[in-house]
Amino acid sequence: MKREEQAKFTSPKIAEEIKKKFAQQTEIISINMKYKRNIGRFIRKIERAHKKAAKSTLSFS
Amino acid sequence: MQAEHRIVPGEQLAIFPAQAPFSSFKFTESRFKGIDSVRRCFSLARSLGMKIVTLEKIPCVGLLSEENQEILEYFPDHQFKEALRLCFWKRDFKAVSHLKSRDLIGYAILKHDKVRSKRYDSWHMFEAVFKKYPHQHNCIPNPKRFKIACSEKIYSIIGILYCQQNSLNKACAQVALRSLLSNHLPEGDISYKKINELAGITPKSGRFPGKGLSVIEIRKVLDGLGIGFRDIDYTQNETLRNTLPYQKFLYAGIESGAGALLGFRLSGPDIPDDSPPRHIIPFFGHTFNKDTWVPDAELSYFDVGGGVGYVPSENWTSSFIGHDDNFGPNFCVPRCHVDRTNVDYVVELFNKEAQYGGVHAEAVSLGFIYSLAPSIISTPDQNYWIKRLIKFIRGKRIVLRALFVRKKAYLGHLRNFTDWEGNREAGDFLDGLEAVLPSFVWIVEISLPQLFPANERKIGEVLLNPFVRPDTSKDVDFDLFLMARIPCYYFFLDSLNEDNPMFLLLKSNIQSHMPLITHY
Repeated sequence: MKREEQAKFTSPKIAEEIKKKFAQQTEIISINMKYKRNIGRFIRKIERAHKKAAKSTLSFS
Repeated sequence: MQAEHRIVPGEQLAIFPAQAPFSSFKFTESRFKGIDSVRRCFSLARSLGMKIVTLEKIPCVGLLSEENQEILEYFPDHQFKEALRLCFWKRDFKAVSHLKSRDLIGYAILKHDKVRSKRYDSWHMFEAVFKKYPHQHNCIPNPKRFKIACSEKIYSIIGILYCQQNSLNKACAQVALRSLLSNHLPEGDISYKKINELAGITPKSGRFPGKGLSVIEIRKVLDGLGIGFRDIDYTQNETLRNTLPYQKFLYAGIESGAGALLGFRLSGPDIPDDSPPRHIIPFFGHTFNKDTWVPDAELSYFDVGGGVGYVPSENWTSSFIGHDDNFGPNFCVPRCHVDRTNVDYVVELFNKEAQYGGVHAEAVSLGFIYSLAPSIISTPDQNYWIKRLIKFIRGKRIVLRALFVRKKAYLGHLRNFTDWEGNREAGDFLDGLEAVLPSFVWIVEISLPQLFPANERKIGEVLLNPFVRPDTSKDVDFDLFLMARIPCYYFFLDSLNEDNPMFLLLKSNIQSHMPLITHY
């Protein structure tokens, strides 16, 4: 299976299947996502550093 | 053929009993001008119980021949003198035909080149593969099986390819790349000519491959082969040495089985401060020390920002295992031995078609686990392991460990193991998951500081889809999330209503802790 097809496996699709088979054993709850800004900033820091490395002048010999 | 130089039949086989009074030093000095990498191979072989060494001449075929052609393009007076294959055996024998693959400790192919105009007349180790130490806490997550001939028979050995520079067509960067790329590529190996071409180094480019590669050229090689990675040049922003420490990226690449590169400045009395030479080496394994003190110290806590953090499983790593092409294969480099101020560059490689790495996966999972587990409404009869997990989440002291794992391995893990009380997950639930998960998943295992090292057990995991390209403009990328498990419950994303996520909760048979996934 190609990457694009593998990327189509999502949690809502899994939830659909679970509801079909185990409807009596499930419940739906609302979640308040915590620390999302801190985590988002951390990930963007890695991405910025990675992009900046494209202009690196280091070499290894 | 990429493996032709390994499996070509040898000539003039010589057999050397390695017990006293045989001297490895004398052998290395008399035949290979005493190069350190050969001495290192003998040290490894002695440690692994070497009884016999075989030596044979091999014809110049495959990658050896391709290397000679490339060197000739830069040095028309290059002369290939000879190539020899050394095999190290842990069984005494009368005839090679009696040997089996399990008797093989390691092999090395040595090459002798001469370039009169450069006053170059040297041996170097074209490649070597050695078994890892058998100790269970010496971990190499993704070793590869190599076929190697001795005389006319083919044997196999599992390890990580070691390669050495010759300063003619390759330096540390090219050999470090070949070591790790041989594990990634479906062909199983790559020539230096191909690496140099991908880097844009050809005779017409005016660049000389023996001078090594720049960061930009290393990136071109990885991009050219479609291998994902995250890299950091610490000289561009000195504060990142502390906020994004190199050890995190090194460990993430190693633990996922993809490997990592570490570039550092050489230091010493004869090295100029203003333009120090830089060296780069590959890492692919780590040791594990369950009694290490570091996780109890404040330094062990990894803060992603604003006081939000966790205890990375990397803290129980004593040493990273890698090759140093100057000195030989399979060295343990203590985790904090290379000072952060001397490390200028790190590369975390990604597995197969993964779109992000282990550092990213751990950070994403942190948000989910800190939000999902405390949502379980507290009741007096609530499971103790949920209570403990929530307590450790409040103290932000949970342990996270990111692994890149086949779906089948994860489901097999849930099928085959029970929790501490002997409860097993329902088979019909696991059968249902088979059809709705991608072929590989990022699994971020969740544990507690006293449960992780000694018991090697965990209390849950977050599963992420590695094939989804992350949207880093969002604080939470829900597209990465597949599911999470804690004692008694599974969580699945049901829907997103204006950023307010609704999760589907399903009861699990697993009530307490389970073994960690071990793929070593």
